[in-house]
Amino acid sequence: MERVSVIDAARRGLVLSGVWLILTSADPGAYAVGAVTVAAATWLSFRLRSPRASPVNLLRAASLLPGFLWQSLLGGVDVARRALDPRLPLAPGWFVLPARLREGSPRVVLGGEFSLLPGTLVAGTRKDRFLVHVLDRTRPVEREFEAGQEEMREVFREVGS
Amino acid sequence: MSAADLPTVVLTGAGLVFFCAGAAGMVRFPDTHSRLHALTKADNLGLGLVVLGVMFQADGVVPVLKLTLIWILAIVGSAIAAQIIARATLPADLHEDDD
Repeated sequence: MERVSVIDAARRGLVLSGVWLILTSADPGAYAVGAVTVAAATWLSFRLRSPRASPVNLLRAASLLPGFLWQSLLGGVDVARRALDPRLPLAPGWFVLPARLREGSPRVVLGGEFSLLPGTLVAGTRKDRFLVHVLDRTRPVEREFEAGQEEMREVFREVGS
Repeated sequence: MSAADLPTVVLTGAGLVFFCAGAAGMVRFPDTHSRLHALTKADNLGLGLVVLGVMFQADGVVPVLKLTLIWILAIVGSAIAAQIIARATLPADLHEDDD
């Protein structure tokens, strides 16, 4: 593991302490367990994401949130409609689409995002191509995926924003 | 019934519809990957609606934050789990040579 500065560790530790306080309603009886848990979670977070990793553009990420929530609502409605329709209208298939994001977190986050959006499910990459399962092959998946990938490149500062 | 009970009943009721739809998709969809769509999307929306509905019964801001956090952790968990299961069950023609 790379060297981690006290400031980096304190910053992540504070965020995770906040999560713990919310989850336990700040119950004093949970402080001791929380101290151990937060320390372990902070250590794990540095194992999984280096302190040198370029910081995420949180403003750009936040700007995507309303659209994401709306789209994931549509995603739930869409799949519910298909599941309950007596004719079971599905045309499942696979798209193999070029990955233009760096390996690691950017690809995992994009995969998670598209696994919650209407009609797409991501199964990671192979040879720098995303494997995308779709419920309906007739939808414009390439275009939507490309647009989402471009947004994620801005969030992870892979392009100027 | 207090004024807050109406949105609670409507939202949690709608949430349960989506859980039922997710379960229906789990049973009716033809293959593992299609079933994952039903589980991730319909159930997350169902949980979101239940969480929103329960928020109307929350006493103060901390329970609201806690409910929001639970929902976020659940969707992140299901988005990651869906990718892992989708990966582990790839059809043969998509993973023949993993180099």
